[in-house]
Amino acid sequence: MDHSIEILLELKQISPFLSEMKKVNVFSVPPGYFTNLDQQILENTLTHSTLSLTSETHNRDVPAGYFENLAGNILEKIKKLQVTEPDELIEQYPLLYSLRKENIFTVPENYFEKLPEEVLGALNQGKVRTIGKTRSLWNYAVAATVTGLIAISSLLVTNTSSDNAAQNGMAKNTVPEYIQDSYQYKNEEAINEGIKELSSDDIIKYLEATANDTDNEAFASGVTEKGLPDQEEYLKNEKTLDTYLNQN
Amino acid sequence: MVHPNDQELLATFKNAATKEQGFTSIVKKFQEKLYWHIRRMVIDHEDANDVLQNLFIKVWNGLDNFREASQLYTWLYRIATNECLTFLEQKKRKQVISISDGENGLTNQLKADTNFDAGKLEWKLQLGIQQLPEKQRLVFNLRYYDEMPYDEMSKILDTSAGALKASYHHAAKKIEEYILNN
Repeated sequence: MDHSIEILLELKQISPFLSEMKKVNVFSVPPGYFTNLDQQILENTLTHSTLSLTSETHNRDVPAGYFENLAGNILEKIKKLQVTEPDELIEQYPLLYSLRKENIFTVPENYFEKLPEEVLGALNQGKVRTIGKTRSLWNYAVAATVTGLIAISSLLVTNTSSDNAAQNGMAKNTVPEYIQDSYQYKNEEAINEGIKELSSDDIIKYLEATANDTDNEAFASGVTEKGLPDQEEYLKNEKTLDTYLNQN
Repeated sequence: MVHPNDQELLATFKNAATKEQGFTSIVKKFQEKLYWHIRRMVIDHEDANDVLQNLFIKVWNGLDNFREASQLYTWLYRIATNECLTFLEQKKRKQVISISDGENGLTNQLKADTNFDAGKLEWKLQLGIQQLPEKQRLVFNLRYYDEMPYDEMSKILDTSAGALKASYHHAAKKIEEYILNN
């Protein structure tokens, strides 16, 4: 067993010592082992009536005929899995067997027929809430949107106050431009429309400009030390953190 | 032995009339490579056999959903790797011992081999490999023994090729150090 040139050159650069070593398979089997193992394996399989794959005997070498019979042995086990399970259930637990097809839960009429359409519709309207693995920078975008919503709502209050102020004789042009911009959002529908028009870049910029300790705290509370990549991973790959954030 | 290509194997498997024949051919084509991949991780033959059989049962159940966009052998290696890690994790839990003790457990299994010879370099190499963390051990074995390109390995281990290269580098250095100091 020799190294291919590419692997050898690479290993030579890393460790000339290891590259000089001949590759030896210490787990090699005694001569003739593979050719005569099939019968032993077959007998072994037949004596194992259960599907438990654990064995108390631990031999170091591959039994005779092991590879020759492996496919057949596995098929046997699969067949047993498929055939014996219901039979056992009928014999030992007839009541359970009679109930196994019963589903006590109901769903609205035509639920499954309509589901793909509904999911697609919701996706098109951006109503689907993603959880788990798809959590990414979009979480922060959503957080920023919510924060934006609160901010705009506050501006609405300011708006009302401003109108009052105007009624009280205060000149409108003394109000800052960004507050004047918010006057167009008269109700929740207008606010939602406004948020929809925000680009992800705008949301990210907003987040970067306004991220505070609350955001950090919310993020930190969702992080467990166990799930963090190893320190070594950060050294090996500068994108480790990005990958982690995208996966969580 | 000449094996049919993956497309032929999959077509045979997906045809209900020839499903078992297709499955048998897939097992025959990949069994030895997968066996040795598993054996190097779990050390003991019986354990390797258990893992391999479980792996092929999963293949039987999941092959219909296999996306042919990826290579069959990458998919199989991926399942084998996951099965190995799951097995080792379960074994550690059963023995109620720590991770480092678990690795010593594999070292002890190696030393219990009737052919074990502490004076021989190839056994020292194996002992050195057992000192590595599991994932580094996987990377080293896949590169050193299976001579797998980093791109392929990346698909199996879900890690970037760059990180795998660094991992292999660290692993080889650690093994060299172990051999030279023991």
